[in-house]
Formats: sequence, C-alpha cells, structure tokens
Amino acid sequence: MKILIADDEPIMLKTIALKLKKDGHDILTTDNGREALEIIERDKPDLVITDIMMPYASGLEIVGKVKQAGNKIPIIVLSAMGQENVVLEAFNLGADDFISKPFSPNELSVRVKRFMSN
Amino acid sequence: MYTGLGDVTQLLLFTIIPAKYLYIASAVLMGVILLILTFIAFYLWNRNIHIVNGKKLKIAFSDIISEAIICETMEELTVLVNDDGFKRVQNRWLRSSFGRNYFIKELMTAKDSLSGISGTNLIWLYEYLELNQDSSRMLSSKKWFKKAIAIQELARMNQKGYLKRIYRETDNENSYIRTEAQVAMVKLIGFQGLRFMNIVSNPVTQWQQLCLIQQLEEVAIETPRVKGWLESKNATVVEFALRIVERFKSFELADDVAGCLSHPSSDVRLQAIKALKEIANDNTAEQIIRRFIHFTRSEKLLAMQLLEEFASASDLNLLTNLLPGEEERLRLKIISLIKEISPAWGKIILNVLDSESAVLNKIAV
Repeated sequence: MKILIADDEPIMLKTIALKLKKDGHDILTTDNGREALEIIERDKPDLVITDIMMPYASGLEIVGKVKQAGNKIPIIVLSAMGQENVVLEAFNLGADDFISKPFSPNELSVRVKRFMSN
Repeated sequence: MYTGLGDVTQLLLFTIIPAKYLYIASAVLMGVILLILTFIAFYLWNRNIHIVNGKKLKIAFSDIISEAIICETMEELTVLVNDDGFKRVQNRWLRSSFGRNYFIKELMTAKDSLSGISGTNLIWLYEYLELNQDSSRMLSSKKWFKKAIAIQELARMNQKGYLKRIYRETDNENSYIRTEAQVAMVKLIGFQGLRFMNIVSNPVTQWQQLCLIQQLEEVAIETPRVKGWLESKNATVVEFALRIVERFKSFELADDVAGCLSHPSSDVRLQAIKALKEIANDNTAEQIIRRFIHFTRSEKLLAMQLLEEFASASDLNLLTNLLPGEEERLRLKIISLIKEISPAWGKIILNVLDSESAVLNKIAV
C-alpha cells in the first residue's frame, strides 16, 4: 500500500513514516500542503495522512481539493486536541477518519490496517 | 589643506579647535565605526552558525527521537542507544549545553503529540541522557525564566523525583515561577498536587486558576479539600475553589458556596453566584435573595440571571420586598421575574406602588 504522509513537524513525519514502513507500506513524505497535492496528482497514493496545520496549503485544503476533484483516496486527518470544529469541517469536506494528538503510533497503524482491509 | 569647508568656516573652526584635536577626533570616530561594524559582522556570523547548527541538530535529533518513539520494547531502546549512529550524535551534539537544551526542546515537542508507550520511551531517553540533571541545574538558577522553564521540563517529562523542590516554588514571589510550579504539581500527582492551596499566601491569579482548572479535567476531584479551601484566608484560593465547584458541579458543597455570598471580596461573591448557578438546589434562590441588597450592581445583575432560572412562587414575598430599594433597571428585571412566576403579578406590583406612594405622601406631609 502506498501512503502519503504530510506533516511539517519533522519528528512526527519521520515517526509515522518509520512506523508504517515497519508495517510494510511504501511511504511518500512531504512537509507542506502544496507538494502534498502535487504528489497525490502524480503518484496516486492509496492513502493520505495529513496534519491540519501546514505551510502553503492546510490539511483542510488538501481534503477539500482532493474530494472536490472526485478523487476517492481515503484521507486521515491529524489534529491537535481541542480542535473539534476543525475535525468536523474536515469531515464535512470529505475526510475519512481523524486522529487527535496526542496519539499513539500503534493506534495509527491499526487505523491504517483497517483502511487496507476495506 | 583642503577640507571642503569654506575659507571663513575653516578659519573659524581651526581657531576654536586646533587642527591636531580635529584629526584625533576623526580617528576616534573612525575607530568606533570600525568597532561597531566588526561587532555586527561577528554577531551575524555567530547567529548564522546557530541557525546552521540548529538545522543540523533538528535533522540529527529528529532521526534518533523518531526511532526511539517507535521502539516497542526495552531491548529495542537499548539497541538504539548502543547504535553507532546514536553514539555519533551523542558525542558530537550532546556534549554542549546548546545541543542538550535543543534536544530537550525537541523531546518536549514530540512528547506533547504522543501518548502511550511512545511517550514513555521519550521519558526514558530524557533520563538515560541525564537531561533531567540539566533541568535540575536550571531549577537552581537565580534567573526566574530559567527556573520556570526547568519546572515545565521536569513536569512534562513526569519527573516525580523533583516534587519536593517544585512544591517549594508554589508560593514563589515571582508569579511565573509560581504558576509553572502549581501547574507542575497537578501534572505530576493530580488533585493531590493542589495541596499548596493550604499554604499559598501569594494571590492565585485568574490566569493561574484557569490553567489549574484545565489540568484538573482528567483527575478526580476531592470534595473535602475543596470545602476546606472555601474557608481559606486567601481570597484567591476561595475563588479558585469556587471555580472548581462551578466547573465540576460539586452539588454537595451548595451550602458552603452559599456561605461565600457574604465574603468581603466582590470577586469571590461573583464567583460564588456563578458556582451556585451550576449547583442550584431548592434553597439557592432564597439564599441569593436574602443577600441581594448587600450585592454590588454587577453582582445583582448576575444574581438576577440565576433567579430568572431558579426562583419559584415560594420566593415571591422576598422578591417583592426587593422592589422598593432598587434602581429602575433592576426593578424592571425583578418585575418581569415576578410576572414569570405569579399569575397575580399585576396585583402584587400595584400593592408595592401603593405602599411606596403612601411612604412618599408621609414624607411630603
């Protein structure tokens, strides 16, 4: 499974990438929203995991643009605790799941597996 | 010598200040300018080195921190810290205080985003690299901001061994240190950490109170302690206890909270009304009405909001008695409340007006 991870925080980006690579996935990474959109267009990943706050284009913009274009790639949104409104907005735009920080990489791994089985 | 000045000006200048001194002054000025330029160049060079090092550190540290995060057993962590790559980073970057401080910051940021075993791994790494010693040294610093940062670090990395030292700072004269220490106590040992409320003599500012309430969201509230704080001599401690009652709806403290309606501090009385609004029982409206005439205007307006919600027909007489002494806006609020709770409101109001005019007539006679 080819997974794109978009997060501007290097430690989080590397952590998620390492964890999912360990689970046997192919990983694409970026630290900004604009590049994430380019990668989605070019490499057509099977799943996108994106942080909300990112330079150039936010996680919400990514969800909005991808879903508006009729793309059915599942998107998991990472949000900080207490961002309920943002999460709701992400769902309205078409996000498929969300994980609230602080989170456990194992939990993320399980959610990804769930998407794989679907 | 041609100086660029007119002949007359040159003549006057050299007459007042001898040429020798003018040359010396110019030389000194040039020297000062050179010194400033050198300082600026050195400052920019040094800053650039820090930025470049910062970038290098970020990359190096994020590699080892993310590897530590995904370790699932102690064996994996041990293998990681004995790895050549880890040792290289340790020897190259973690010997200087700049590198160690940077590493602590990165650990903190990562810790805030992670839960479960990943967070525990980061605490282990913090202790393995003896970074808690660095925080401990900062805790002994005389500079308030270093002390405050150290307390924050120790609390975020769950260093319960430093509890006693942090507890000592909970009544520090400096409000920043005090806030960090008080929040740290709750972070480290939950509601028990609030025991400083029994001894705190400095004010617990509203900001501190809100920070503490936020920390309490995930811990069990111990009502007997809160009850004790409601009788504290420190008004801000009483205010904080009332905030706890309001936020966590401690219904069993309703009578104790009602007792705070006659507290000398207006902030406490206001907070007591807010708390009562959340835990009101059958007696609350009456307790409020009985204290009503002693309230300030803002307290009265807040109290009216509570009465609008909880007053009943049994409070009618007491409410009616409030009417004569109040200003117009409050009288209107009381009248509309009476209207809400009694169908015979018109008659009641007329009676009040009659007795008022009788009093006025007596005065006039």
